[in-house]
Amino acid sequence: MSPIKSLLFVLALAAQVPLASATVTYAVGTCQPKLTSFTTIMGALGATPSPNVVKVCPGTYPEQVIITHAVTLEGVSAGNSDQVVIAVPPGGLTGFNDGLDDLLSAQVSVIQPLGEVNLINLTVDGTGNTVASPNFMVGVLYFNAPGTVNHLNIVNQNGNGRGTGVWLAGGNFNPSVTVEDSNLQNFDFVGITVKTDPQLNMTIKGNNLASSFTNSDGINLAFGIQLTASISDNLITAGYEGVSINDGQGSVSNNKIVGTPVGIDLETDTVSVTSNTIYNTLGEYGIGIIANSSVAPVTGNTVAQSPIGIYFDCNAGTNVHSNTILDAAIALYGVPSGTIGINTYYNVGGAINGGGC
Amino acid sequence: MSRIKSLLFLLALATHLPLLSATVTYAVGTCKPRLPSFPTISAAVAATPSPNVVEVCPGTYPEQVVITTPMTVEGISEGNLTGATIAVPPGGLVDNWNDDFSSEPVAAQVLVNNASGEVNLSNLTVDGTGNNVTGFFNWVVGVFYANSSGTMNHLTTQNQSGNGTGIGVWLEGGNATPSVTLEDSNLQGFDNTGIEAETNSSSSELTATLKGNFLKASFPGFGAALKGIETGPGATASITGNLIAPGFVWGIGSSAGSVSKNTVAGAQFRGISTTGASVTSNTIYNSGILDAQPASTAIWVDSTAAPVTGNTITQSGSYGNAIDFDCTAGNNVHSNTILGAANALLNVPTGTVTPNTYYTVGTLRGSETIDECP
Repeated sequence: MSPIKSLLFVLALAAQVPLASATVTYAVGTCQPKLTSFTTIMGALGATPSPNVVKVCPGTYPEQVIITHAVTLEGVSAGNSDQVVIAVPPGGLTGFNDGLDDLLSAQVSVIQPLGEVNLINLTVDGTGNTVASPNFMVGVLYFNAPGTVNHLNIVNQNGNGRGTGVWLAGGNFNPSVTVEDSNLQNFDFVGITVKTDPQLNMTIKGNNLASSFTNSDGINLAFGIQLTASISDNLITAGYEGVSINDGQGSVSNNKIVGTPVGIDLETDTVSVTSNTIYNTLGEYGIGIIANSSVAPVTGNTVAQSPIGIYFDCNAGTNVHSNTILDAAIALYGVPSGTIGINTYYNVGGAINGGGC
Repeated sequence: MSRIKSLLFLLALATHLPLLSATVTYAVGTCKPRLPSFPTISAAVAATPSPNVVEVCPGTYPEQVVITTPMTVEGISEGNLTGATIAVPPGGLVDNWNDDFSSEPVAAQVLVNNASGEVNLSNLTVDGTGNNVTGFFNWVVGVFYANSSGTMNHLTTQNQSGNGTGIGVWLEGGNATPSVTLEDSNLQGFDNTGIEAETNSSSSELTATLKGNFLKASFPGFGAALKGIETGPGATASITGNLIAPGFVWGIGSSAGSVSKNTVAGAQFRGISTTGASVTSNTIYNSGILDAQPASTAIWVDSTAAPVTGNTITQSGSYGNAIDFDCTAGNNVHSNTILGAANALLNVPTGTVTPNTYYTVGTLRGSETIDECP
């Protein structure tokens, strides 16, 4: 190639590069006048060209948000406010069938995008919803979608006993989803639930969960043989079961669970439960940890103030060890005959080994 | 020295060493038949020679215990049980101390009184059920350390309640400038304060380390004015890694030392208050959102110097403030993360530079409705 041709080629390449990497950013509201702006979030998401980033100005947006392509949707500050609220639209929420006979009426739905969808700095408020059974009232739904939910405030998904803060479902994209540093509150079914037949990798870390609905659960891995989960560093302060593991593989570690009748319910062999702190399980049959597995590691946990520290469910054995139990009526219950792992006990007034099988 | 004299000297020394280092250990109950055993803890701790260690068999001991010499009192295991319960004696508690501020009477279930060395307590439950103490100015206390050092480890104090003056553990300093550690313990069922640490002194005469404890409020409601941990004046406290369960009105209050890496959930009026202690890396959830109190706040700072940094505050609701500067704090407050608050900052003095990180916050600097700054 001659020098001139080479130069022309390089210039042409340089001219193309900005186009190839250009980020399309839209705004919603009036706080970003230099950006192309829309009055609704759905208006921005549906615009052409499709945005990479949508910045949402403080305000309340009563709409059902459906996302089907890769995008980052983030609330931004303006003046003295930093609060973007996605509220229930006057016409209500339409349902989505996840293929497992669950009808999900979600305020924000992320449905099979070809790339990551990230949600940042948003409040999703379910106040005023009229979702009726059998539909589930859902704050944020990820269906066969990768991405990150970061610093969201997801509240008041309740009304029919099926309110869920975040619902995750996998798919043939084998997506990875992270839910982190968010607040989930006043759901009346589950804070974060996972129900997936196909693959899903999920990370749930650093979230706060609370609910005044006593029958709700904090985090529930309901169904998913091909589910891989890491659940760590969450603070769960109310509900019935703090963390409920029915399926999947992975770990539950370093969580703090306070004031639930059951702290952690482990019903599978392929999820470890380590280094969690469980305090003040409620009720006559309050249980720190249900360990219904003879092989899953249940170690290094601290259970304080619990009628029953760890319930072996006539199944667990030496896989449960190195836990500390302080102030329990019965430290271990439902223990099969045989060897028990070494744990540390303080102030156990009823029985260290309560038998029960 | 001749070889014979040297040998005699060594023999004499060897003869005395066991005596010098001998540990006097007593038991309470019948589970340690090889040890001198007593039916009550009080009898064991007062016996001669004074014990270094008192091992308490599982059981319930209805007595008020007073300890005045250095020792370790620990609940031990027997068979399928571990730990011992110190209960209220028949007829209730009697006053055995007066506090150093107002000389108000104190009925302490375990009183450690001016011990000349460390007194350590472990694996014990102190239950105030049936204390029968009346009168608002008559304190009911699970464990009281008066001008004494030591460590409390894996204790449970409960049910110090009945007249609104129940306290789980009370640490009071003095001229011995004691150091006391309370760790990995569970405090519940008190109707005033979980842990109190103070000295009636203009300077610090008590060093308190409070770490890894669990505190639960059993008397919810604003009227109860329940406090989790309160330290100062006259005390320097390191308050770290404690878990304050929902239901308190006040979570942690401290005037000197440090408050770090605690988890405070659901403290209705104030999560953490400081008039001088640093407040760093705490997690404060759903605190300071009391509807009827617009001054309720997750962190209240009445100090221009104490660092208030690296805390994570998460709230939700129409009420509540994340950090109240009380028209006093300033650039010492920064690098906190605030999510979901109605108001992030309140009563911030003019000119303050306070970079924090905010997520979905209604108002970054709230209206100064309470202590409107000049």
